[in-house]
Amino acid sequence: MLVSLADGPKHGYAIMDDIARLADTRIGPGTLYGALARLERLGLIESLPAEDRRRPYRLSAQGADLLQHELSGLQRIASAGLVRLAAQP
Amino acid sequence: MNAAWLVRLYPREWRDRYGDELADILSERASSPGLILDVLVGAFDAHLHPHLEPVPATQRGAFLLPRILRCRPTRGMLVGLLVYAGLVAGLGTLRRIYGFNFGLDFFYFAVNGALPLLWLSGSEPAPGLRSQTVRLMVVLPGAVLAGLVGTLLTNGPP
Repeated sequence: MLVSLADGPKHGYAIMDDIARLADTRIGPGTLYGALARLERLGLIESLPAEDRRRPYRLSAQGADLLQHELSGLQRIASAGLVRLAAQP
Repeated sequence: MNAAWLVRLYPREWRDRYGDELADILSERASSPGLILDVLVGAFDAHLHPHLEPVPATQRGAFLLPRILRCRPTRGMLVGLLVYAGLVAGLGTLRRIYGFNFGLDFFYFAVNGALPLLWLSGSEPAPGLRSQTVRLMVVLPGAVLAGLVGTLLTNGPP
């Protein structure tokens, strides 16, 4: 969800569609809003003024820092794994 | 069939904040067993973790005690303690009348031991599997210990 918001604000429906494209899995609206509530409470995302009945969300500075940290860690692990696989006889 | 009515299953404070958005999405999607189950689980989760609800601006500056009393887990715990006190008083009386009863002692143990588990279910899980595992490792022995101590304190040694 944080990755989905990394390129700019999105409302709930757009986040679900983006996750379906990114991760090839479709999350339900109950799951989505449970996660949005948690992320907002943790200060990792922020809501913007609603447009019609849809409220866009964006990454907070704290959320962006956390995402950067987590993705860098994943990148290190993935790189190491690929190097080791390639080095196999 | 429009599944937007499922939003009513969420706590009122949660609906005030996210209800319109969720209803909007549900109204655009065809209802299916999977969708209904997903929303039901979400509503159950919102009731289990009411502290995830946003704190209204009017409450942010309130005194601590009224805020604690407004918190649903605290109210649930107070009601639970009242029910528990009633059970202890009632079953203790039965035990004095009928003497030792393994079933009653086991009941005391289960009720006392359930309190830490209730606390676990009502508290927000810490992120990460390791934290969850550590919490379970603390709470499960705590539940057994609370069951034993509570049974001895409220019932006397068998």
